[in-house]
Amino acid sequence: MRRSIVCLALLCFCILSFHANAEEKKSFWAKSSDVIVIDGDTLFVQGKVVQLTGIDAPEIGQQCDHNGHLWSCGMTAALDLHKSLAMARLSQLHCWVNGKTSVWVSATCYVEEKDLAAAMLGAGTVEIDRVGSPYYRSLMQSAKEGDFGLWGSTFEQPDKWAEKARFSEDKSACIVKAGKTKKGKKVFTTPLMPTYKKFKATRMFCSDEDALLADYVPLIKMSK
Amino acid sequence: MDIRPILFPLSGLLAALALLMEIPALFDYFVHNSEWEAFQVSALITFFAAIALYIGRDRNMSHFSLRHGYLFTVSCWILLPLFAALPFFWSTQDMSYTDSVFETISGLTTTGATVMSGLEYMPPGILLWRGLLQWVGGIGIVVMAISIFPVLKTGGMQLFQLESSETAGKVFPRIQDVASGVFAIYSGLTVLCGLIYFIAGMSAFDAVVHAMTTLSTGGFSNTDMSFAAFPDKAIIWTGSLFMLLGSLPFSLMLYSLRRKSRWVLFADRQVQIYLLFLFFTCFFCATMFHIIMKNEDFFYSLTLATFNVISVVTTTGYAFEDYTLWGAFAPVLFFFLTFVGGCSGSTAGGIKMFRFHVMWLSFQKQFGHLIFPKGVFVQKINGKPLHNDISQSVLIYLTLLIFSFAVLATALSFTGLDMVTALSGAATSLSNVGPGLGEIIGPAGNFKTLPDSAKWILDIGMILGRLEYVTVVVLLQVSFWRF
Repeated sequence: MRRSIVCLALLCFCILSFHANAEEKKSFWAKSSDVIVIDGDTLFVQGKVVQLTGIDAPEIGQQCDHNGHLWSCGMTAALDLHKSLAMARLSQLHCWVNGKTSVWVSATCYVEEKDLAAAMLGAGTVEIDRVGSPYYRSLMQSAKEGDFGLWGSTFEQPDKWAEKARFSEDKSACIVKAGKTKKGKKVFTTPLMPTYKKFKATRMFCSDEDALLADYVPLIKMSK
Repeated sequence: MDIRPILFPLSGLLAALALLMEIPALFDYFVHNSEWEAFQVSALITFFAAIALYIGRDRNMSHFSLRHGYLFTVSCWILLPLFAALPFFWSTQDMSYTDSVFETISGLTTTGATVMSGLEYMPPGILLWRGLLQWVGGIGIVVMAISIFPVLKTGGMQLFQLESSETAGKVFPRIQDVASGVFAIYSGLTVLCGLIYFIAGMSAFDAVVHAMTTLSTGGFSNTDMSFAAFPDKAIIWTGSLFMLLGSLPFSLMLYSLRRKSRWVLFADRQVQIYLLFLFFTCFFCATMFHIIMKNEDFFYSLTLATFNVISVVTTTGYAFEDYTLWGAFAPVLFFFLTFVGGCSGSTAGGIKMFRFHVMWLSFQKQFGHLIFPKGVFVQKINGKPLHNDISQSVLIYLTLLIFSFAVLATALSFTGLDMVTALSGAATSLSNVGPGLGEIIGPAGNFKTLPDSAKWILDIGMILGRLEYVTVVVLLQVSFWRF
C-alpha cells in the first residue's frame, strides 16, 4: 500500500513538473521598464524580438492622410505602444508565445490585464493581420465604424508600403537604419530604440521585418 | 442687443494674444527653427483681427451691461482659441484645423488633453506655445472666477463677492486690480516651481514649461510619458505641491498678502475641507496601491498615489503611472475624482469644494425642516449666512452639469466611442481634467485617434465646463437677445 502511495506521489510530481515546464515554455515575464519598442507591433524583450500576434501596425516611417493632412501613423502606433509600457513601470509584461520563426517570436502580451494588441486595435492605431482572432476582428470593426485613427485616414497596407507603394501625396522615406558594428555584426535600429541617434547607417530598410529577414538584429547598445 | 461694447475688450485680448505669439516666435528664431514663421504669420493675422474689432467698437464703456459681461466671457473663450490655434495649424507638424483647435482649447481651458504624440521630437517653440497657452489660460480663469463670476452670479459664485455694491459697471476697474495682484502671486509661484524643478533635475526648458503647466493645473507635458519621464521623487513631490497650490483660492492668497494675515488661507472652511479630503483620498489610494501592486516601499506607493490623486482632483491631468492598472477599484474611484475639482478662485476646474459644502449645508437644513417643521435654521459659510439664492445657484449649476454630461456622453457614443470612453470623455472635458479612462483616452492613451466629430464635441465640453455652464446657457435664452 505504502509503495503504491509513493509511486502515485512520484507520478503526480512528474506530471506537475512537466506541466510547469510546459507553462514556462509557453509564456515569459519581463519588467515593463526593460522592454524596448521596435515599432508599433514589435518589441524587444529579454533578447527576443517579439511580434504581437494578430496585429499589423503601419511601418515606423509610414504616413497616412487625414482629410488632406499627412500624419505619422507608423510613429504614432509605436509611440502608443511605448507609452503603454512606460506608464506601467511597476507592472510586469506577460507574453504568451503563439509561434516562433528563426528570427522572431509571435506572442500575445499583457501589462497586468491589459492586452497591448487589443488596446491598440481599439484605438485604431493598428489593423489585424491575416490571422487576427474574431475578438480582434470585432475590436477593429468598432474602430472602423467610429473612424478612429487609421480608419479616419487613407493609408497603404503596411506590407505594400514597405515595398515602396505610396499614395500620391505621401513622400515619406524608409527610416529603419541598418549597418554593421565594428565586429562585423549586422544590426538595425528604429527611432524609439536608444541607439538610433548615434548609429550611422549604411543601408535603410522600410520595415523592421525586412531588416530581420535580411539577417539584421536589433542594436540595443552601442559598442564602445 | 448691441454687441459693440464687447468689441473693445475683445480687441485688446486679441492684440495681447498676438503679442504672446511673439515669445515662441523669437525663441524659435534664436534656436534657428523655421517654426518661427508660423508664429509670425499667426501673430500678424491675429493683430489685424484685433484692429478690425477695435474699429467697430463702442467708445462709451458705460454701455457695458451685465448681459455684455456674459457675452464677453463666452466670446473670449470661443474667439481666442480660433486664433491661438493658427500656429499649430501652420507649423511643420501638419495638424488639421480640428486638431489645432482641440489642442488650443485644451490648453487655454487648462484641460491638458492632447492630440499630439512624439512630443519629445517637437520643435521647442510649439512646446513653449502649449505651456504659454495653459499659463495664460490659468490667469484668465482665476481673474474670471474672482472678478467676473461673482458679479454674474453663476453657480453660487456670488458667495465670493467681496463688496455688496458691485455692479457690472465696476467689473473692469476691478479686473485690473485683481489681475495685477493675481499675476504677481501666480508669476512668483511659477518661478519658484520652475526653480525647484530645475534644481531637482529637469532641464531648464522642461522646468519652465512644466512650471507653467503645473501652476495653471493644465497638465501639458514636453514628453508623451508626461511625468513618467521624470521619475525622481523630488520632482514628483514638487509637482504635487505646486498643483495643490494652483488649486487653492488665489483670492485668499491675495487677501493674505495685502492684509498681511498669513493664516487666512487655512482658516477658510473650503480650504480646510479640501485639504482633509485630499489627505484621506491619497492615504486610501496609497494603501490600496501598496496592497494590490505588492509594492515593498510604502513611501513610493504614497508618492505615486499622492501625485495621481492630486493630478486628477486639481484637474491637472499629468500622468505618472497608468492608474487604470491598479485593480478594479481605481478606474471607478478616479472617474468620480474627476468631478471633484479644487477650490473656487483657483485655476482648477470641476465642481469645486465650496459647492459640496453648500450642498451639505442645504441637506442639513432640509432634513432639519423635516424633523422640526417650525424650526429656524441659519446656515453659515465662513461666518456669512448662506442665502437661498446661493443654494439655488448651486442646484442650477449641478442640474446643468448632469444635463451637459448626459448630452455630451450620448453625443460621443453616437460618434462610435465605447461606453467607458464616452462617459469618461464627457466627464474629463466638462471637468477640464485631461486624461479619461479606457484604452483610447486613458492615462496611457491619446486623443489623436478620436474621430473629428468627437473632438468638436469635447471642445464644446471643455468650454462649457470652464465657463461653469450657466454663463453659456444664459446666452441660449431668447430673452437675452431681445432688447
